[in-house]
Amino acid sequence: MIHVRVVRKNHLIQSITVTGHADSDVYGHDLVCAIVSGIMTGLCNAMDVLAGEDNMIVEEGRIEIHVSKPDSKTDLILETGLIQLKTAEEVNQDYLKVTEV
Amino acid sequence: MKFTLNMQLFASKKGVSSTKNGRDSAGRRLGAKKADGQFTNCGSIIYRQRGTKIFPGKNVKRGGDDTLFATAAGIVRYERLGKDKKQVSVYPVEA
Repeated sequence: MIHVRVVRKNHLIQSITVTGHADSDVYGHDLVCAIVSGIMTGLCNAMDVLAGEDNMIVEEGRIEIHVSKPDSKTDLILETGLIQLKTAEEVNQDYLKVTEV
Repeated sequence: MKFTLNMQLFASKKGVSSTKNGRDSAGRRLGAKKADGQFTNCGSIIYRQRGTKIFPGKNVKRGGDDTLFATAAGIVRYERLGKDKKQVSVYPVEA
């Protein structure tokens, strides 16, 4: 199960942490893992290019995005990524879980 | 881009693929139940087999599952049958 943890501050997203393994199929055929990897890697690159944010960790089984100064621009980018993750969660509830704190 | 996409970043153990094998039935305990030269009673099983690895000889019959059993009490003898076959016989012991 992949866990997505969203932390907000004054309603703006301050961090998104994704951990775990989907285990929906064997390595190389795990579609849920591919969806989450695609969304999160794209989101990291968007934060880097569009918002100049670089407080991110990308490693096997873990991606973390931390926003030093949340504003409307960073929030719009992260909210977009969050909607994509929730869209994936709707049809993969056995393998992906999004929680907001 | 700063981060290169790895599509299996959240996949588990690399290279481990599931197999559809791994099942087997219990052993059927086939083979000889009486040795050559051993005394056997009438009706007792001499050899369990699938097909006729060993053929029935004198005073020995073949059951429905090819099991060989004695039809008389006596001594068990494993013998050659023709060029490349074997048979088992039971020779009654003179009283």
